[in-house]
Amino acid sequence: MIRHLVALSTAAVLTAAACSKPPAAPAAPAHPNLSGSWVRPLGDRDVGGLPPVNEIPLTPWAAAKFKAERPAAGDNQNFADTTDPSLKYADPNGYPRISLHPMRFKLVQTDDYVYQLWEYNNNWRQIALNVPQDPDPALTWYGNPVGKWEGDTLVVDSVGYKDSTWLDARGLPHTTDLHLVERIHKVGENLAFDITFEDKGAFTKPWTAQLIFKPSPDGSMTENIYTISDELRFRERFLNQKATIPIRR
Amino acid sequence: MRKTCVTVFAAAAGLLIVSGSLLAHHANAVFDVGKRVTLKATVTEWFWANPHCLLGLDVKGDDGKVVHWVAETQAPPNMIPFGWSKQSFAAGDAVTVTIEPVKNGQPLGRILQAVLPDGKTLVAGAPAIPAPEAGAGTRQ
Repeated sequence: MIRHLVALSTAAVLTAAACSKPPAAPAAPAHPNLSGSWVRPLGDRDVGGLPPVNEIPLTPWAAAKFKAERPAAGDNQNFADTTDPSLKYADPNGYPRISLHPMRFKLVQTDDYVYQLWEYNNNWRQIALNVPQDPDPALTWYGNPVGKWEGDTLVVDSVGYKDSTWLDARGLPHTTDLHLVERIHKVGENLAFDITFEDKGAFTKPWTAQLIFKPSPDGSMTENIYTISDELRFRERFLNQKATIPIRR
Repeated sequence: MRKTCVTVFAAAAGLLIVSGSLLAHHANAVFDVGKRVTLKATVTEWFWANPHCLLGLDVKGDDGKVVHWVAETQAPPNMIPFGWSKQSFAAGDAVTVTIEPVKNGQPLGRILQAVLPDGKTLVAGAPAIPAPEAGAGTRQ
């Protein structure tokens, strides 16, 4: 009986407390919502990019490695006998190279993560919010990005990149010491990624680049998975190059 | 007999092009940049695939000989915004295709625009722009 009275009293107190305050208004969003589909459209010039190689402070090691590569684009291009790991082995592009394609990506923003979903090769990365950087992360294609909000800017810090990727299609190298700091923010209706590149093995000092993405009105993305068979088939059909391994249809 | 028209001309003002340096996949060195070839042709195949879509074309010359051309576009996601699709061409379609040919004289090139049997024109990219400096602009 006493238990029932205590329970009833407690319920009455809680009810009164609940009723004494008006319901809280929904909190205003603390940060801009970056979710949506974004693209650097094919042919647009005002979308930034990585600077000319002669403006990037390469270490002697990086300069020699860059010179030795045979990319499919740029000044040293050699498509027929390229060393581009994404063409030769269909390796994932790595970052930020994957964002340089004129293809869409989606940002999906939650309280704890921001997901970047690239249409190119259906690759994606997960930016964990408000957690410390791992001092010794596993080496991966897209690194270990962690983010935090500074006002209206999402600041993303990432390390832990495999050194087998190129930073762009020209063959710009990096080491496993690559450290990127990205400041992602709206510029009007567009989205800017201001990226600082640090890598004591590849660069004598930090350097920066800006990528601008525009809203993509069509939110649907295609399956666009690039395989070594795709590459070999293209070379066979367009360039009459014989495949060295069977092409899967 | 179908009159074959293979016209080579310099880049004309207003022609819509995709800058070679914008290619997402391979080099532009293979192409004779700025050169244009217009083919009145019959479609043999439209291959909607990565890393480039391929259009097979039969072109009959004035001597009656048929030359088979293959012309590429960008990958499907790059073409969809410009109205291209897997259904853009069918075998047997009579089309007029403007391409930028390869340098070595083989019947290969990349498509700049295509006029379909119903008169509709598909363009393969944004309006003509000067080539960006190395490393700048839209690069892979």
